[in-house]
Amino acid sequence: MADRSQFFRGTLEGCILKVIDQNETYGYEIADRLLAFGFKDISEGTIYPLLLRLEKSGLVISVKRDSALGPKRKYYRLTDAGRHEILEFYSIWSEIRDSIDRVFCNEEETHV
Amino acid sequence: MFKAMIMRNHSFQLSRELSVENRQIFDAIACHLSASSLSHKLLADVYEDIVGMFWTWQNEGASVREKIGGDETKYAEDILSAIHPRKTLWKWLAEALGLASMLFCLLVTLRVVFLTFPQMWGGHPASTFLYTLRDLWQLVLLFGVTYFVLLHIGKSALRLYARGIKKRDRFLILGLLYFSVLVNPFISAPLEKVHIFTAGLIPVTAGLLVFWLLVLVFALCYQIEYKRVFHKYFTGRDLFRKK
Repeated sequence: MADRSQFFRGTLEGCILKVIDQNETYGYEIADRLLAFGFKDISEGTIYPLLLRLEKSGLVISVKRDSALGPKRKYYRLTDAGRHEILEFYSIWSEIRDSIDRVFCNEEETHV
Repeated sequence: MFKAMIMRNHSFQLSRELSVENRQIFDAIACHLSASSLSHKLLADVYEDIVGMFWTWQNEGASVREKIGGDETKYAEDILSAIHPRKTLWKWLAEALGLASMLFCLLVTLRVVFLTFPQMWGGHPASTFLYTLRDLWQLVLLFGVTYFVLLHIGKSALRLYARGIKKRDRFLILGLLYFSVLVNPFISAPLEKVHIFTAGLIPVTAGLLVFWLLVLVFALCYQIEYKRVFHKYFTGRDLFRKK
């Protein structure tokens, strides 16, 4: 029942925005940083559609730069709308997390 | 548009450096995306991103299939659902109008060059140009074929299109072919009697000259853009190969 990909949906976009907010970066590096933060089964490939969605929504902008190792790399940068979205995402996430915590704490109390 | 075409060709060239398995995955994704209503520009951009990622993973020894989640069709659909491509009516009209004008001028030029001018040189001076319903019918047929080739096949290159061709498209192509060969000659003859407009041959020739001059300018722009993009591309490749 607890499908990780279902949990990821929605929340991952907020985390990607936060990673991009720290400095201008490219898909490969974003995936690496998310892995370092403990997100499992993440790769540049799986976050690419999400980056496209964020770009289309105007939350990030991208610029292509030459890479010494091969084809051009797409670097992403946050827009003002993206920064606003991060604040909104974190506030919603905090509300949900608190609600879930309350539900589980309550359940524990009744069992004990 | 020119830049999109060049970037798309660039991506297909780079895809030749992928292994057979990885290239098949790229081809499958490209087939799926090219059948959508993504614009040429966006499609070229996505092709470039994907082939770049594949190329990097391949050179790292990673499995491309694993990196995209194991299912190329689902991956292509994820990309499409992220972009939600929609072609507006105005955009479609602008495209269709541009293509129709180009074909109209092409057909009129062919008629003037191969029918009207030889008649004049043969001692039958024709001072007017007559446009009949038959000419319009030919334009419609040519428009149908060209629109299909440019906007469906042209988005993915013939090699990929042949792999991913749908039954509906196959039926349409064959139907149009049979119709043109078998039915068209019978329809064309009576249509020739219906005149749509007549115009002086001198203004028509002058208009055509201006039009083809514009086409020449566009072709030159394309060449300049092509050299600009590919110069960088080949420089990048050489740089990599030295390493």
